[in-house]
Amino acid sequence: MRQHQEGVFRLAYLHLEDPEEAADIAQETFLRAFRSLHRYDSARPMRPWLLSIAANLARNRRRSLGRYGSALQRYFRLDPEAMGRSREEHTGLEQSQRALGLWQAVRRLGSSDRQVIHLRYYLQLPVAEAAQALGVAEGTVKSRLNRALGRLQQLIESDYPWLREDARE
Amino acid sequence: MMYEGLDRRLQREARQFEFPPTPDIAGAVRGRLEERPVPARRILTPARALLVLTLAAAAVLLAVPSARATVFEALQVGVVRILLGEPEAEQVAATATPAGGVLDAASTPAAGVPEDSTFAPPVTQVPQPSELDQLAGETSLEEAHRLAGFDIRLPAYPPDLGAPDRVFYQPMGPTLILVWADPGGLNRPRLSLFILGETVLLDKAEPSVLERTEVGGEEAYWAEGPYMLAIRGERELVLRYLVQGHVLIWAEGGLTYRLESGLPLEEALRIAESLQP
Repeated sequence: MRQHQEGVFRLAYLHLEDPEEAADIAQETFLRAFRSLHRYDSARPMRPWLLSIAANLARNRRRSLGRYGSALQRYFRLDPEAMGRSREEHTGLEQSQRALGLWQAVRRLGSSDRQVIHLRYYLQLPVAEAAQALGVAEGTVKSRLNRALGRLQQLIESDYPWLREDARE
Repeated sequence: MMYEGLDRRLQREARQFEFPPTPDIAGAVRGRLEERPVPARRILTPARALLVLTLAAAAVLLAVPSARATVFEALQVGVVRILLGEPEAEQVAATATPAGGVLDAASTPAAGVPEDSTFAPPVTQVPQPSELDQLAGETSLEEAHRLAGFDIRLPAYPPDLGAPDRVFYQPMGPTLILVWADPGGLNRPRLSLFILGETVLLDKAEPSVLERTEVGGEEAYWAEGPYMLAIRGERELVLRYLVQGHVLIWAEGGLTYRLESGLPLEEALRIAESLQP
């Protein structure tokens, strides 16, 4: 479990952007996995299976947070101290300006684009594992990734011009 | 890929993304498993016991740092899945092989309960006397045979073993549990044979010893404890018993057999290969 808990927590965090919510989702992921062990095919890698559970739970949680929660989260993202928390508590949001800018651009993508980018880049999953986590073929992951990168590039061009030079490389 | 520059950049910068520190998920999950309420006064049916064993196995493995990394590796024999790991010597310091190696209910208290485990249970002989009384579905051998719908094969070895002293039948699986009692009392089993149909699944926690062998030319596994077993408390299922048991598991004719005793492998194999209608 130790080898998987970080990935599960991080994926939940990418979805929810709240460490406490992410920890709760990670716990629930493992509880559900234990209850469903009989459905797990031990011939397949465990990580994609856990990540798919975590992603579903995180999406549901995100939906349940609703508009009010989203508004609060947006507010908090703009100014963490406004929520009564120190910046040190949110080191995940205190990246280098470039990495943070890129992450903010990714956050603005649609759910399908975000998912594949999260798995492939932020969790560094190989294409095969990302495919298993998403329940699609490897070729589908590659095409989704390509589309997602295209949209991300457009977004950078239009809304994040200060990232443009880096993006073009 | 059309966007190779962006791909390279994401690969590089996403790696630098600073996630919050990962909290102790394992500890939290363990706590939630321990607190999980179960309705009062439920009979410990094999189906529930299997679920409990699954959760207990998970909880114990979570409690043992050395086992966490490999908790999900498993192999399967019939409907029995054995969770594998890298047991450390201190985890498995004791085994339950009785001196003399004959059918005997003697047990050896384990010295190997992990010290860092807040889940650390008392080591006890398997099964607990009280556990047998909690098993639902006690019946006769004849009735079990009628209900199960398959031939129940019994060991012809050792010659003086005779018919099982207690028989339990559960439709889930179906599951048949044949118990040969210790001369000291019907509640003290010296040997038990589980015959499991195809609609149950038993997860067994990381055994301290796991050896591949054969029964009648078919793949079989020999596992030695300790492992978790649940017994029912007053208001909930209490998952606190670490069991020392030697188990031979094999599948044959669409059924999975699980022979549990305090015997050494050689004796268990002789019993397993002596099964006959």
